[in-house]
Amino acid sequence: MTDEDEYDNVVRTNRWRMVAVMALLAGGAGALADRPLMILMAAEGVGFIAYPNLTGAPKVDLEVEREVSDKGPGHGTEVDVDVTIKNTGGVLADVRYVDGVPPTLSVERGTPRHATTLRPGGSASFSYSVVAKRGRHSFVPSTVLARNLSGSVEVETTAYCDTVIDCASDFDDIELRKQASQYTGRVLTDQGGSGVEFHGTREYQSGDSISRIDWKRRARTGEFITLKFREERSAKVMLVLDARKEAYVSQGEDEPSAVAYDIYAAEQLFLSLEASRDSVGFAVIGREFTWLQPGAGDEHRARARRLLTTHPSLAPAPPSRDTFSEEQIDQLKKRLDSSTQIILLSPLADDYIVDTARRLDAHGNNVSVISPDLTLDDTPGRRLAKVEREARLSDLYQSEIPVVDWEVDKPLAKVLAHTTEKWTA
Amino acid sequence: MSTRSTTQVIRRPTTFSGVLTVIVATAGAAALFLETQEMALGLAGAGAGFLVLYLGLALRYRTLVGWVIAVGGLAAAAAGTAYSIGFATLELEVISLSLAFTGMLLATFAVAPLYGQGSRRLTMLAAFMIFGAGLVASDFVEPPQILAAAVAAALVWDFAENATGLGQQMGRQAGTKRAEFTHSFASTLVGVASASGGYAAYSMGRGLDWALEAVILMLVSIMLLVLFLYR
Repeated sequence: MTDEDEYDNVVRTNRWRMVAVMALLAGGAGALADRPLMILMAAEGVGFIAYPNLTGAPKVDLEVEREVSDKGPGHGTEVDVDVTIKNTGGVLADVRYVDGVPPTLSVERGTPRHATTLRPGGSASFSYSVVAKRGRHSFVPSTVLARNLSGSVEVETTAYCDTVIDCASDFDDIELRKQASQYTGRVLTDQGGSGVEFHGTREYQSGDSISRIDWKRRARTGEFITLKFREERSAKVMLVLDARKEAYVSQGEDEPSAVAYDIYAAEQLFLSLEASRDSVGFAVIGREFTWLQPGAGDEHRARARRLLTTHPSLAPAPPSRDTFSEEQIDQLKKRLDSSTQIILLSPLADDYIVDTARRLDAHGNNVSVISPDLTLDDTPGRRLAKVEREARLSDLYQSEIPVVDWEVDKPLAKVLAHTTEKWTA
Repeated sequence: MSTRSTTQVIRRPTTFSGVLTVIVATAGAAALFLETQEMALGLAGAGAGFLVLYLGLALRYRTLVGWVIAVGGLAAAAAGTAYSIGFATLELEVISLSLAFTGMLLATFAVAPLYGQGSRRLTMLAAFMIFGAGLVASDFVEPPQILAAAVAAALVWDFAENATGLGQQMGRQAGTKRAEFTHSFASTLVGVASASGGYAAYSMGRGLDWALEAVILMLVSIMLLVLFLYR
């Protein structure tokens, strides 16, 4: 069964073992009581014992098409999502599909789940609706579970279809851009030159732009004086996503993990930073160290998008084995140059990540943290986790590392705006 | 903090396989008592009662009527079984009928749970009860009847486990009927085929006057062969 090697997650369900037990029981009882009919009951079990072994692991080849009724809806509008899954491989006796609803949107009507049988080339459609919220919401990879006819083997894999619901009212758009650039984007330097903010004056030197000559002063005194403005340089920003096993915290079984919120935030930040001409890169720590050099342009945007949506290091389900090691942080440090600042996206679910943020900051790269808050306070255990997280936040504040504590019910743009007001106040 | 989804996933066993479970449990039990028509009818009535109980349990979240229907269904199922027992002449028949009734009851509660997501343990017990009813009845029935009960027991397990698994993974609101139909159809075919094969081997064995020990030995070897061949 070579097919099984292709998937990360192949489970033998062993669901037919029960029938084998019944058959052996009947065989034993029949032998003891000398009853041929009991033996006959055992004979019937042979078919059911052979059945699960006759078919191997299913080979999943699915194409997903997704249509949304409105790609740019207003806040609070219901958007219909129509999904069609098409089988481009062999027969799939039992395929169970969970659509990759953006973690920040909620399902209003219907269900994003569907189970069906697909013949080769066959397709199945279903629909549901979500309520749009402000912001840009990308669909995440869908989870696919496929079983063979007897249900003895189950493989888990993902399918992806690039769909975005972009719900940006003018108000939010402006606010996000302004706020994001304020805390990471354009960096005002202390060097005088061309720019917007006044820095100082000096005597005119030939070659200076005519527009920078202080003409009023020339009219008053006859002197040629050149105005100097603070030079603005674009920032180089590295978005570091915490996708270690510890970061896969969520508010419940069906709820998206903190990593899903990190990915959402990273995409929003990437778009707004890129719009203000900063060069933005990505690093992921967790399953494996993943790095995308800061850059700009269409190709870079496409690469960033691929990384955030389909890279296995950012898979929606937590890793089965913990493969994170300190080496990944060393690699990150090695690759960062001195002019790059870091935005760390993490739920702050353990002390290690706080320590890492401090070390990176001390290494010379300014660190800011955006942390989705997924803690609850309904049980003592969860209350403790909440208190611990709050302690970590205050640790970071004390180390003068700015932190955005993002209550995920609120739009990220609003939270960023509010937090930056606090910082500047 | 509020929960994210407005529509929660209800992880209860799926309806299609759930109803099939109750039907196949009834068929397995009734098959054992086909000789006495009244007993088979009584059990069929009990099965109908269990279907009503299933319906009532499915509706109980909406109205009080759901509970009334459930209690009515349970009463009908008990009455049907009591009617069957009334026609029993052997002590073993009474034991077998009681086991069949318990199996049907447990199967219904396994696929229409009072609380939680459905229970595999309850499903297992239900399948064992139906199988046990067959074992006990092996003293007074014909080979095809015993085979029907054995296949029914295996299918009760298969259908109910599938209903529970699908319900847990997909939720009750998801469209799952096509997958359920394919799965249950294939399992039924396998059941019919292995029962036919078993019956053919049994008839041949009787004709050739094989020793029981030899049949057992052969059977165990086939089982082990099948188990190890595909590992």
